[in-house]
This record gives sequence, structure tokens and C-alpha cells, in this order.
Amino acid sequence: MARYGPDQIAAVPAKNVKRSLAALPVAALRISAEIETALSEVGIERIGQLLDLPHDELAARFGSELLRRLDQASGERQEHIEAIQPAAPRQVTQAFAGPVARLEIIRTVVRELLMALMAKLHGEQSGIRHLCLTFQRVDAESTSLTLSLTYPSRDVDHLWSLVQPKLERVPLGYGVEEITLHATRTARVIDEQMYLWPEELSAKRTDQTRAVGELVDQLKDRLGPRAVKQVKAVESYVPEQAFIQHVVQSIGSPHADRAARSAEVAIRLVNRPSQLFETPEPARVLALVPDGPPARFQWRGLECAVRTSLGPERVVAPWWAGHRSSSDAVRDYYEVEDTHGRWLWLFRVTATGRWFVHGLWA
Amino acid sequence: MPAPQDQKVHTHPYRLASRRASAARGPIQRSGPSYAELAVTSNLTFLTGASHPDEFVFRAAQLGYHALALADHNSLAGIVRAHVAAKEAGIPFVVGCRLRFTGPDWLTVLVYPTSRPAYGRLCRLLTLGKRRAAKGQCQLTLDDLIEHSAGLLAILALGESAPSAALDTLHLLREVFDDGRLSLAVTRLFEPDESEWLHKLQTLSRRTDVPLVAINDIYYHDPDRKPLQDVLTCIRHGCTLPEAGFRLFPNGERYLKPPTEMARLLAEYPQAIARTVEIAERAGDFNLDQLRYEYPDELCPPGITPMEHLRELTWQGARKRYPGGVPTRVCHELEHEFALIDELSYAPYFLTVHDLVTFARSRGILCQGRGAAANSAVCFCLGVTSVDPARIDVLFERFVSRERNEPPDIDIDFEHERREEVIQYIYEKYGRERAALTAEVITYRRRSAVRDVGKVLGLSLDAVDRIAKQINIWADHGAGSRADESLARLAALGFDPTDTTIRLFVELVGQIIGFPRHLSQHVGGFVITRGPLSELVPIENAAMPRRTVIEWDKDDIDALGMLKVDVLGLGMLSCIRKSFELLEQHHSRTLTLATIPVEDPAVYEMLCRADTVGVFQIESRAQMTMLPRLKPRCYYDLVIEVAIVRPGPIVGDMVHPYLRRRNGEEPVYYPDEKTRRVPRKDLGRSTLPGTGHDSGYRRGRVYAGGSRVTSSGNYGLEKQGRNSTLAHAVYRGDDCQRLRAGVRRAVLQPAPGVQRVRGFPESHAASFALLVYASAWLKRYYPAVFTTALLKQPTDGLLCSGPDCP
Repeated sequence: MARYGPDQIAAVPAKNVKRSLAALPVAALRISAEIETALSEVGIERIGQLLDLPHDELAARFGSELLRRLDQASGERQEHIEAIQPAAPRQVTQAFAGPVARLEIIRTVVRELLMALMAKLHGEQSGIRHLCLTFQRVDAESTSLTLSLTYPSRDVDHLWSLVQPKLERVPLGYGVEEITLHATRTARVIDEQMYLWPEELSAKRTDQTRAVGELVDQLKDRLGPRAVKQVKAVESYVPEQAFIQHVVQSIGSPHADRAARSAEVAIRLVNRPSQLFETPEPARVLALVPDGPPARFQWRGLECAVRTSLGPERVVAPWWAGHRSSSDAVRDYYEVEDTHGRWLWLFRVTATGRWFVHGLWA
Repeated sequence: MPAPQDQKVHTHPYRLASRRASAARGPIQRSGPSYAELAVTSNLTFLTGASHPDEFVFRAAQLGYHALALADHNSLAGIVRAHVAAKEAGIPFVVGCRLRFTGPDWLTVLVYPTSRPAYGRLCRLLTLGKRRAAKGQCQLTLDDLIEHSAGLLAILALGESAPSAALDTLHLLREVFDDGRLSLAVTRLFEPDESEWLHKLQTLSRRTDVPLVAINDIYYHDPDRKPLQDVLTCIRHGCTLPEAGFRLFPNGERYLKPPTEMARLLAEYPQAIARTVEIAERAGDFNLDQLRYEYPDELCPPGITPMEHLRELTWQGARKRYPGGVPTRVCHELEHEFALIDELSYAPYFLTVHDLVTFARSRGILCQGRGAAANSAVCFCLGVTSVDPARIDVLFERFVSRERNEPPDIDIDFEHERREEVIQYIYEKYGRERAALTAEVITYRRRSAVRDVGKVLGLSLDAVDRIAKQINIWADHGAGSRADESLARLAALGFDPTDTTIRLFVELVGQIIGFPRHLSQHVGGFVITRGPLSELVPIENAAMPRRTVIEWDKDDIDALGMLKVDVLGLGMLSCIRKSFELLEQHHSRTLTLATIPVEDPAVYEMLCRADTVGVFQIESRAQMTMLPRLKPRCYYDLVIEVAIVRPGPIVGDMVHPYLRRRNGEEPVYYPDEKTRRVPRKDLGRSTLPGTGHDSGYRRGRVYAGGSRVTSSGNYGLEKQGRNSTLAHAVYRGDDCQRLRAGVRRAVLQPAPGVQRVRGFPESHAASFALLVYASAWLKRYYPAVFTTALLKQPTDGLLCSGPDCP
């Protein structure tokens, strides 16, 4: 009534419902566009025309939706209206009586605000992944400070250690009137116990993942967001492709993705050297042709005799990447111990018979 | 090279493939160390092995292997194919199976039966596991194996990842497979830690006194198939190649290596190489030829032979068919056929068919046989078909011949609404132990190949869809032969033909076409045996509840000379029966298929006007446009109409030449003398499938100048997909080589159409034409009755089960 009727605000007494509805266009029933066109095709434009028609026929011709809407409008059928409730924003604000320009005060306030925010998040069992500090300044635009974390944190001390150095760099101008802390992204932290006394907290800080996460955050903070990288294992038989480096985004459980699926044949860690050379270094090797293990080899100017050798393990370049025809597509790897007690990883390119050292076990 | 023991080599489609291979193979090397490969996984372990069974066999023969054993995973589906190929290649073939268990799941045992009873036990074991599990799966435990272990040789394949419990299992299996029947597998596949593992295995072998045996755990016959194997693995796991990681094999060593190479790789373990030969010889005591298929014996009364019984029944029927005395021509024909049936001892087969037909008659179910054997005088007298041998030039030998030692093939169409009654009758009469449906191996077609390979190579869904829609890109080339053409067509679609992925894609799709994908059930092919079927072949559950399917398809069954009856459903039969009922009710006229007045000119008059709505088979638009031109005037014209007016021959451009020749507008021309003997009735335009058989051409291969016509479809075509194949089909074996190029072109020219839709063999058309005539007759004389019967049919088309013509 309020939207389509003559008055901005409408209150219709129960006995007048049908009469006041009759004048309204059918669109007021909140029916779908198709029904609306179907109705206009037969010349029905006002609700009154609908009300005059027999009930059953309406349903048969235009579907039950129209009937339902009609009943709801006239109050013959109940309509539940579910309100969407916005989640409470995870933010805390502190306003000052006058502009504040002293860093000590701001520090104290920010720390207090952090604690308040943490207290709020504690109840939700979530930790901060992304934090935004906004400073409302006098006679200037507001300035803000953001913080991204690799591991959801709700440790005030840790956050404080990250925030504190940045505070010094915030241009305060003529003073700050208001400070807002907003947890723009949070993540659930379930597996953390709550502690009654804060000192217990520091004693319990044994969770490795968290410790790594906090370290990474501090490193990132000092060295720049792209400076900290992580090495991840990739399922591949080709040693060069068995790992990738990427910027740390988040620290999960280190075993999570490895346990995700078990392969039929897997490479065990001991089969790969602890140090893999960026490019294989050529070596001169004395071995039985065509595919015997190495007996003596010369590498980095040193002549070495082989004490033991294990292998070969044949590694084939992935054919789908177009390596099939390349000359070093097939390599035979040997784990070799020389007389100095060093374990080296040698391979022979089967096509050419040339030898390379590809890594060593330290 | 030992000569095949049985000179009567069974015809088998895979022989065709073998010809191709044998043409390419060089002299057999038989020097150096003896080695037999005992662990071969073929592509009948679906989406796992990357070569056909016959490819392994021929490669092994070429390399001079002592023997070859197929060991598919929990399956014996490939053994018949391999057996047939091995006979041709002249290499001993060993039946084997790789057993994977649900408990414990790390365990892999390869088993080889040494005798017929042991083979029966293996089949029972697999049947047990398969009947427990859902379709296509198998649930076995170690206890099941122990229970069925008598007479089996076993190889325990332990991986390095085997748990410590493996040692207990080894001890247990040593007890079970006593008498030195157990071996421990050693491999040299260049995998990490292999050398240490070999040492450990040797120690283990010495301690437990279980000898080592060398296997190369083969998945493809040629190293070039490694990419295909990777692709299949990815399809199985539903991932792309880069995602596959350790699910792929680490390298490409799982192919058939020369025996000298195997001996060199395992030079430190000569006893393991020698052991392969020992196992192959021991397991070689069993051979698939020992599977003597036995016809069910309850069909004839005790005391007389099946042949005597058949004669008696036939003469009884003949007297009924020809009340005025059996014509001499038919008498001669009957005697001739009896001689053949007796010689090949097919009497029980005819009795089985007769039994089914008699049952159907007793229930008032209308039925009719078709297929060349069905058009025999014997079948006419037995009431299997109503095609009067006096009316059609019968060529019984075409399907039942001395030369091809395979059972005659009769399809019986039943009213589609009541087919289930017949099926239940079979199950009831013979029991589920002795009767099951045959399998149909579903293979990769172009569309499915494009989709699956495209996904694995990481092409976008959109790109895959685009290619899949333009499917004729892979007209029918085999691996690589016309890859350039496909690339050109892809380029027209906007793909870069120089791109590595696209090139790989074309190559792999070409390779994968024709590869088995899964087993399905045949439309209605029943296998019936005298003894328990599960001791002959593993039986598994079908997708349909309460249906069971054997692991072999119809070609395998043919190769072993097993009995198969096709029980099919046909909507028109229901319609005709309803018409007969209505006729009796309202016009008091009793008719049967055999008593409808024949060759009525009024009926043909109607057909020439193309007034055929509702008439069986010839009511389509294509048929209706053809009728006024073909002007059918007699029964045989209808046969031709049914056989040739089909998409295949039309696309293959054979129908119009036929019409021109028939109307005398074009001289009849035969490409050469050899083909002249073939097509007599179709005027040199070899339109009729089946006409090739007169000159002894291969069954089911001759269609429109040479293609295979079977319900299991274009296996041969799609797999081989080359014109040379077609030439092979028409001209057996070496004849092809001598074939003049011009002749070859003339014979093979219609091929493109053939590829897509198959035509209809003459013998099947003969039976169908009878129904065409019957329905046309009803329409002409009793239109009200006919229309009523038609309208009583379910609406979803009349032909319930498609025209299936094995």
C-alpha cells in the first residue's frame, strides 16, 4: 500500500483491505514478471480485476504463485518475513576528547584496543588474518594501516610486536581524534586452549605451526611481504620439478597436503639428495658400458674412486611437456659413495652416455 | 616355430588385427636365453593396460619369447583374444590372472592354472569375488584364494612398501602353494631403491626357500605406448597429466624387452629367468583348447542322439509345413543340411532354438528367427522361421560351413512385451549356474576419446566440446596414418596445429579409439552350458538387477565354439499378434505368419505407391521415397529394400547405382572375377552384407564391399580403421596383396558410408521382409484391424530393440 498507494505511509483497517487493494496495479502483489505479462495480455492490470475472477481458475491459468500472493495481500494467508541480520562487525573504536598527537598515548590506546578486539574474537573462536587500523585525523584525511598474517592469531603480544614498529611511521598530522581497529578477515582457531592466567600463555607457546607462523610474520614485516618464501613438495619423479617455491600465504599443518593422497609408487625422501645443484655439473666417469654403475669419476677437478653405488633409478622427462624428443629425456641416477665418504648423486644421460653430478647428501 | 596344433583355427576378429601385425613381423629369433613374460596387463584391465592382447602376443612371438601369459587384474576377459592370436603367431600362451585383494589390499598374487579343474576353480574364485561386488568390481580376500588354490601356480609380487605382515603372508602362501608352486617376483624396472630391494628379496628367497622369478610387469607392448598408458591412468583417476604425480609409473620400462635384454638386466639372478620358463611349461599343461564346450543335454529324450531327434522333429514339421507332400527340392535341401549339421555336430544348437520357439508358441508369443542359419530348410520345418526355402535362394553354407568351425548364429525376435518371459524361461530351465548373458565390450569411440583425452591433456572444456562436435575430424585414421589430415581440420577450427599439446592430442585420440572402456551386457545373447558356467568363465553382475553377465563377448564365444542364442525383442511382432487376435474376434479369420496369402499383387501395388505408414521397416521417409523407384514386385525386392535403404549404403553411394543397374540404365560391372562370384543378386554393386560368403569370405566382414557387420560394432573398423583392413575383409589374407589397385578402389570406394552406419545382412533382411509383407498385407486388407493394433502399441517407436544383426 505504501509503495503503490496514494499515501507514503498506509495503514488499512481490516474491513477495507479488499477495497483498497483493488485500485492497486497487479505488480504490487510482488509476482514474477512472466505472470505480470501473462496478466497484461488478457487485460488485467489492477488487483481488483483479479479479485473479481473465480479463485480456482486463477490458479489453473496462472499458477499457484499468483494465488498465494493474492491471499497474502488480503491477509488470508500468513507471510513470514525473515530478516537478514548483519554479522556484528569485528571492530573496536576509541575516540579522544581532543586531537592527540603524542605517540605514547596512541600506543597505549592501540594496545588497549587490540586487547579489546581479542576479547571480542575469543568468544568466536577466531583469530585475525587481516587487521586494519584507521586513524581519524584533524583537518586531514584519515590514514590507515593494514596488517596481513600468515597464521590466524589472537595473541596480543604477537600482534603488538607487529603493529608497534609501524605505529611510529604513521603520519599523525595535527593530531588524531579517533582510532578504529577492524579485523577485516578472520579465520577459525579451534585447536587452541583458552587460558585463565596470561602468564600460562607464554609457557604454553609450544605449538610449532604457530611459532613458525609468528616468525614468518615478523620476517615479512621486516623484509617485505614477498621476501619470505616456502618450498613445497610436488608429486613428480623429475627432481627439478619435485618442489616449488612460493610466497608464504598461510601456514597450515605441514602434513596436511602430503597425507591427502597416497600414491602407488612414491619417492622416499632418502632417495633425493639434501642439496640439489641448480644445474647438473658435468663429470668424467669411468663406468661399464652400456649401463654399468660408475667406478671412478672426476668432478670439480678431483679424482674419486667409488666405494659403493646404489641404483640406477631411471627418470624420464614428462612427455606431455614436449620433452620426449630432447636428448636428455632419460637419465639413470646412481647414489654413489666415494672414498672420501661423500654421498653424491650422479646421473648418466642414456642417449649420450654423458655423466653429471646433480646433488649431494650433506 | 611350432605349428599350431589344431589345424582348424577358429575364425576370430582379432585374427584380422593379427594379419596386420604378422605382415610386419620379421623372422623369429630363437637364440640366446629363454624367457617367458608372466605378468602382462592388457587393455582389458580397463583404463590400465595400454595394448591389445594380440599386440602383446605378436610382439612376444617376434622377440622370440618362450611363452607369454596374460594376467589381467581380477579378470580373464582377454584370454580368448590372446589365445587366438597366440595360435596364429605360434607362441605358447599361458592363461593367468593378477589377483588384487580387498583384504589385505597391498597384496598382489599372480596365478596360473595348470589343469582344466584348476582353471574351473580360478573362474569360480573370480565369479565369487565379482558376484559379491558391484558391476565391474571384485571383492576377494586371501581366504578365498586359499580355498581355491589347488592346481594353481602362484607368484607373489611384493613391493618395497609391503608391510611387515607380508612375511607372514609369504609363509602362509608357501604352505598353501606347496610342491614348489609359489615364486617370488623380482623386477628390474629402474625404480628407486630397486637394487637394495632385490638383495633383500634374494635373502628372503633363500631363507624361505621360495624361488625367485623374473617379471617385467608389462602394461604396453611397445615403449611408444607409455604416453597412452599415462593418459589411461589419468582417465582412471580423473586428473590431468601434471596432477597425476606418483600415480603414474616412474618411467617407461614396462614394455616387452628382448629376452637377451631381460637376461642381461637380471644377470645376477639367472635362476629367476630360468624359473619363468619352468612356470610357463607347468602352466602350459592347461590350454584354452581343453575347454570343451558342451551343449546342454536335456533337449533330447534319453536313448537317442541329438541328431536323430532333430531329424525326427524336422520331418514332423516338414509334413506339417507341406501338407501336400514335401517338395523334392526341399527334401534334397534338408538332407544336405542334415549332413552339414551332423558333420559339425550342431544338432543340439538347433534343438535349443527349437525348444525356445516351442516354448514361445505354447505361450502364444509370436516369434521369428533370423540370420543365415535361420533361413535354412531345417529351421523352416522346425517352425523357427517362416521364410519358405522354396521362395528364397537359401545359402545355408554361408553361415554354417565346414571351413569356419563356429556355431551357427540364429537370432530370435520375440514380441518385445513378452521377451522377459522367454528370458525367465531360460533361467528357470537351465538355472543361473548354467545360463548367463554375454558381455559386450564397450570401446572408445571418437566422441568419448576426444572428451577423455582432452580432459587429461588439460584442454578447456569449451575446446573439448568444440572438437567433440566436429567429430569427423577423426574420420577413421589409425594411429598416425592420417594425423596430418586431422591436424588440418583442427586448424580450421582455430587450433594451432604446431602446438605440442594439439599434436599429442591428435596422436593419442587416434591411439585410444577402439580401446575397451568397460563391459556391458549384450542385448540378448545367452550362453547356455551343460555344466556350471562359472567353471568356464567368470560371471559378474550386470547393471540391471538379477542379471548376470559373463566376461567374454560374442567373438570370444564364437572362437571357443560356444552356443549362443540371441533373444531379442521386436515391437512389430506384438503388433502383428494383436492384429491376428483382432482378426479372429471380428472377422473370424485365423491367420499365422505362415498362412498369410503370399505374393499378393494388391499389396505390392500399395507398396509401390509408398503408402506405407505403419508398415514395418519401410515407413521412414527415405524408404518411402525409394519405394516408387525400386517398385517392389516380389518378396525378394522387399528383402533388398530392407537391406539397402539404410544410411550406410545411401551415404556410401551404393543405392543409386543399384537402382540404375536394376532399371538397365547402366551396365552391370564386376571389378574382377573374384567379386563376380559374390554379388549375384545385387548386380555388382555389392550392397548386400552377407553376399560375400559364397566364395568363402569371412563371416560378418563383408558388407558393401568390405566392412564388418556386427552388433558389437565397429571394433574391427575403429581399431584398424584402414582401407587395407577392408581389403582383407573381402579378399582373404594374401589375396589382398595381389589385388590390383583399380579393383581395390572399386571394391573399397564405398567405404566412407560404411564406417558410419551399418547396413543389414541379406539373411536378416529376409526375415524382416516377411514381417514387412505381413504388416503390409494387414494394412491392405484389414486397415482398421492393423491401425488398432498399432495404436495399442507403446508410443515410443515400434522397433523396441533395434535391428540387431550380429
